[in-house]
Amino acid sequence: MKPEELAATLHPLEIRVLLALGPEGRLAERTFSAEGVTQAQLRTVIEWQLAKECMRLLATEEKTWVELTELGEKYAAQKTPAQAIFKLFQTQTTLSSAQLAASLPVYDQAERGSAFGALKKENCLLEVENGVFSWKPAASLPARFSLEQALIEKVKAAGRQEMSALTLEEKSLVEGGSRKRGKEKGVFRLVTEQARQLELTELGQAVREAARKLGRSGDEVNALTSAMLADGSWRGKSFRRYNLQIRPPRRVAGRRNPYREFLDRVRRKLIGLGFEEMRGQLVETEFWNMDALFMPQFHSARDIHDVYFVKQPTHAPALEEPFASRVAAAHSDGGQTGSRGWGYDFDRERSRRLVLRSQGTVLSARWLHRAAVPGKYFAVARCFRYDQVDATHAPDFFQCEGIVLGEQIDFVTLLGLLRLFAKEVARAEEIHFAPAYFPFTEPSVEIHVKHPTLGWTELGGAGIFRPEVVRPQGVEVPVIAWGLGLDRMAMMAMGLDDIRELFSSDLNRMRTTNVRLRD
Amino acid sequence: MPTITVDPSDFQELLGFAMDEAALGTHLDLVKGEFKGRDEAGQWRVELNDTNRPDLWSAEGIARQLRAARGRRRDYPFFRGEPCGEIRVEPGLEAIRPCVAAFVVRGVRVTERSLAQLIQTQEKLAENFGRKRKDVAIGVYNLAKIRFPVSYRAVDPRAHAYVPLGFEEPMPLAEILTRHPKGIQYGDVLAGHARVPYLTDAGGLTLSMPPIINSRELGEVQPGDSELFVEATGTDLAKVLLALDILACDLADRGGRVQRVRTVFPAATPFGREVDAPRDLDLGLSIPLTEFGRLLGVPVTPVEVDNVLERYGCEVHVEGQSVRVVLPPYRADYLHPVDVVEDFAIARGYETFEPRMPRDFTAGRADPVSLLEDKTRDAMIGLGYEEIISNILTSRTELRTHMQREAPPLVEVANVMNENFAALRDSLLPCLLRVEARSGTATYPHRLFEAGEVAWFDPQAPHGSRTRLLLGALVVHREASLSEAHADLDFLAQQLGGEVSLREEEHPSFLPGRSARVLLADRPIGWLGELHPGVLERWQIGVPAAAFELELEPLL
Repeated sequence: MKPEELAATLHPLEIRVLLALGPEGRLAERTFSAEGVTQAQLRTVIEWQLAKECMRLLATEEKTWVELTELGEKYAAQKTPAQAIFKLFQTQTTLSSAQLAASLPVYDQAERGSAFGALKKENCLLEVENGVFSWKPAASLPARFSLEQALIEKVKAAGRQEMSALTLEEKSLVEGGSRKRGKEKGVFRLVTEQARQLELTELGQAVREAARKLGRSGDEVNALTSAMLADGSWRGKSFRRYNLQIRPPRRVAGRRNPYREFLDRVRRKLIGLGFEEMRGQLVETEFWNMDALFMPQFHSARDIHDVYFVKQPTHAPALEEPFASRVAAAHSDGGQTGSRGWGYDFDRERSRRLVLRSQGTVLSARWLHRAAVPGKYFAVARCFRYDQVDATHAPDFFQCEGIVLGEQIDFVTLLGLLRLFAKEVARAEEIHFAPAYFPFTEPSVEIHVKHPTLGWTELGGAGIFRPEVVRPQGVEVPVIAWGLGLDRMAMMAMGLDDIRELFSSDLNRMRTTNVRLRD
Repeated sequence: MPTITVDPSDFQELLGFAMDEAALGTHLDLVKGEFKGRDEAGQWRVELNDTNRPDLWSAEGIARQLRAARGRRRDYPFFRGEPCGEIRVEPGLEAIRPCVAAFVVRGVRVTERSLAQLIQTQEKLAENFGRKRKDVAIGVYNLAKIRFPVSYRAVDPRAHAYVPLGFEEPMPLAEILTRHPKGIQYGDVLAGHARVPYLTDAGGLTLSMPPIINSRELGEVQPGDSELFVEATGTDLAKVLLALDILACDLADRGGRVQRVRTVFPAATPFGREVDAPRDLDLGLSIPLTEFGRLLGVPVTPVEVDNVLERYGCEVHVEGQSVRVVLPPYRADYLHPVDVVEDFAIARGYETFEPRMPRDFTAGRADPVSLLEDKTRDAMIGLGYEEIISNILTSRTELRTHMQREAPPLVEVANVMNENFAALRDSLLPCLLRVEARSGTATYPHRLFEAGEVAWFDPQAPHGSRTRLLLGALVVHREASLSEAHADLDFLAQQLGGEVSLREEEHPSFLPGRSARVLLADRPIGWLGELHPGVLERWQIGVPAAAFELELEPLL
C-alpha cells in the first residue's frame, strides 16, 4: 500500500503516537508517552506499526521495576509496624504485649510479631520483666527501618521505581523485603519488563508525513454511535478510514457437506429433467438385488467375494408373488418372456437370501410394476460391495440409477437421453457410445465423455431392459435403464484423488473443500 | 470380466492385415473390449466385458470377429466329418463329473508364442466360463503319444498313481490332490467323492486326473509339437462342447487341421449316446423384421439385416417378414431376439444411429422423505451446524463398545472382510463422534450433524431389518451442554412443525440425569443428552459434548 493510503486508514491511536514522536522518529517503550494513549494501547499500536512495516525494532532491553505490594501500599499510608512501635515508646516507658496489641490494631499478629522480633534482634527493645518491654534508653530507630519507610514512600510517589536506579542499601532492602518474607507478605514486588527501542522506517516516516498532509489529528471518530445519530453530533465529525486489505477473522459457519452438495446438485438436475425420485431399503433379498435383474444364480458377481451377506436373519420369510414365480420361470426356460432362459434349476431359497444392496438397479427393478407409463425415475442410493477398501474402493458408495418407460422408447431415444446426461450432468459435448454388457439390458451401451482434464472417461452405462426383466413385472413397454458413475465426477469437482475422502472425517478438510460449479 | 494379453505381431498375423494400437482401440467396440495399454513385455492388454461371449477371450477370437467385419469369414469344415478316435466313458461318473468330449488337431506348429496364447485361452475358459474348473476344465496333450480308444472312468484315488506335470516321481492320485499345487488349488471340485475322474489311453498310460493336472508323459505340450489331443470335462455337456468348439476354431485359425473325436457315454445325453466333437450347437433364432425397427427406432430392411449380421459372423436366412439368424459354431449366447438386435446394432456401429430425445413429458419430483431430509438439513445449517457424511458400514466396536451400549442387536455382515466394516450403523452418533475424534485441531466450537440412513434390526420386518432416516447432531466445545443442544432441538422441531417434548430417561451413552427421550406426541422418536465421559474417553475426545438424534419419518 502507498504511504497516503496507509495514512488514511491508520487508527486514531496510531496517529496520536506518530504525531507525538520526535523528528528522528525514535520511540522507547515505557518512557514514551502520548496524550490519550495508555501503555497497553501503546503496545497494540507498536504491534500494528511493526506489522505494517512502519516501525522497526532497534533493541530490546530488560528492566526490573520495584513496585509496592498490597502490604507495601498499606505501610505507605500507615507507616511500618517498626516505625509505629518506636513512636509508641516515645510516650510510654514500658508496654506489655497485650497493651502493644491493643494500641496497634491496624496490624495483625504476624506483622506486629515480626517487627517486634526484628527490633529485639537489633537490641532496641529490652524485656524488663516477663512480657513487659521498654525501649533501650537513648537509642534511636536503626537506620534500616527508617530507610525502608523512606523507600516505601519513594516508590509510592513514583508509582514504580527502576531497580537499577536504587542505592546498594535500598537494593538489599528490596531483595530482603521481597524475597525473605515471601511474596504475599512482602512489601516490594519485582517486575521484569522488556522495553523495546523502536524507530520509524522510511515507510513510517512517509506515512507520518502523509498523515500530517491529510490533516489527520488522531481525533477521528472510530465508530458511529446511536447517541451521535440521536443528537446529530455526527455532523462535523470525521470518521476514520478503514484498511480493507487486512485479512478478516475466519468464520466457522453452518455448511452443507461438500460431497452432499455435489449429490444434491445431481438430484436437482434429474428432478429438473423430469425424473421422480425412488427410495428403498439397505437390506435386500437376492431376488430383487439380482434374480429380478436376470442375473443368473451362477453369475460370478453373485458369489461370496462380491456381495455382503446378512448374518441374521439369513433369509426373508417369503417373496412377493406373482413376481417370484415369473422370474423363476424366466431364469429356467424363459417363461412367458420369449426367451430361452438361462437353462438351469432356479433355486427359490437362494432368492430369499438377504444381502446388503449391491446395486442401485434394485430400486428400478422394484419400481417397474408400479411405474407410470410414460414415466421417468431416479435414485441416488447407497450400495455395498465386497471390496478391499482403498483409494478407489469405499465400503459403501452412491449409485445414481434410474429408468425411463414409454411406448416410444427405443435404442435411439436411449442414446438421446445419454447425450442429454452428458451435457447436463457432465457438461460434456464430445461423447462416444460403446457397446457394453450388463445381464439385465440388451442392447447395452456405455457412454464415454471427454473431460477437459481427465480425458476420455466413462460417464455411465445404460441399455434397454431385457424382456426377461420387465415382463415378469407386468411391464409391456420398452424401458431404458441407466446408471451414472458419480464418484469420479465428484472427486474432480472437489479436487480429490482418494475416494475415501468423499466421506472425510477431518473437519479441517471439510471446511476448506469447495465444490466447483464448473465440474 | 477377463483381461487377456495379446502379442501385437501374432495378433496381426491372425487378422491378416495391419492394425496399430490406436486402430485397435476403436475396433474393440465390436467385441465389447477395452484397450488397457501395454505390459512390460510390450504385449497389448485387452479387457473383454461380455461375460456371455467366451469365444472373444483370445487373440484368435478377437481377430476372428474383426476379420468378419471385413467380410473375411472362414469356414470351419470340421464340424462335419467322421471321427478319428474314441473316448469310452464308463459308468460311475454321473455324480462326480459326467461329461467329457475331445478333438484332435494336426499340422499346427506349436511355438512359444502360440503356446502362451493356447494356455491363456484354456485358463480363461476354465476359470471364468468354467467357473474355476467346476463346470468346465480343459486338457491339452501330445497326440503322437496317445493310443485310442481313451478311457474316462472313476477310480479309487489311492489305487492309481502317475507323474504329474512339474514333478519327477509317480504320485498316488490322493497325494496329488493334497500335495500338487493344482491339487491344492482345485481339489475342492472333487471334494466329498470317494472316487475321482481318470483319463487313460488304450495302452494304460495316464492322460490326467481331470480337472486337476495332466501327466508329464502325455500331457506336456512343448514348442515344436504339431499334433494335439484336446479334451474338456465338466458337469454340463453343452458348456463342455462350446469350450471345445471355441478351442477348435482358435487352433484352425492358426492353420491346424481339426478332426473330430467320438465320445461314447454309458447312457443317453441331451446330445445322444454318442457325441462327436467339435459339434455345431446350431443355435439360431427367428425374429420378425419389425422387431429391429421397434427396438432400435430406425427402419431396417431385410437386406441390411443380412449384410450387417453376415459381417458379424452370423448366418442370415430371410423368411418372408422374419429372419432366421444362426450363430456361428463358436457362439451360444442368444437367449432372446433382443440379443440378435444388439448384434445388429453393434455390427452396424453405434455411431451410425442418430440420438433422438425421448418426447414424453413427465413431472420431476423428489421423494417426500427426501424433502423432509432437505428441510431438516437447511434448519441445521441455519443453526450453524456443519454437515458430515459417513459410511453406513462400520464396526461393532464403534457402534457398541465405544458407545457403552450392548443392545439392541445390529444388522451384521456374514462374510466379513474387514472388522472395521462389519455392521450397518443403527445410530448416527458414532459417525459424528468419529469425526470429532479426528478433528481436535479444527477451530472450536464444533457443531456437527448428519442426516442419513441407518438399519435397525427387526426380526419381524420382511427383511429382518428396517431402513430409517435419522438426524444426528453433536455440539462440542468447552461449555457444551444439554441446554444448548436442547435449544437447537427446540428450534428444529418448531421448523419441522412437530410438537416435541422430553421425558427424562437414562441412556448408557449419556450422563445419568442428563438425558431424555424425545417424544412426538407420545411416540419416542429420539434422544437428547450430554455425552458420558466414559464414551468421550473411549473416543479420546477431550472436550465436553452434547447431542441429539431423531427419527425423521414420523415428522412427515
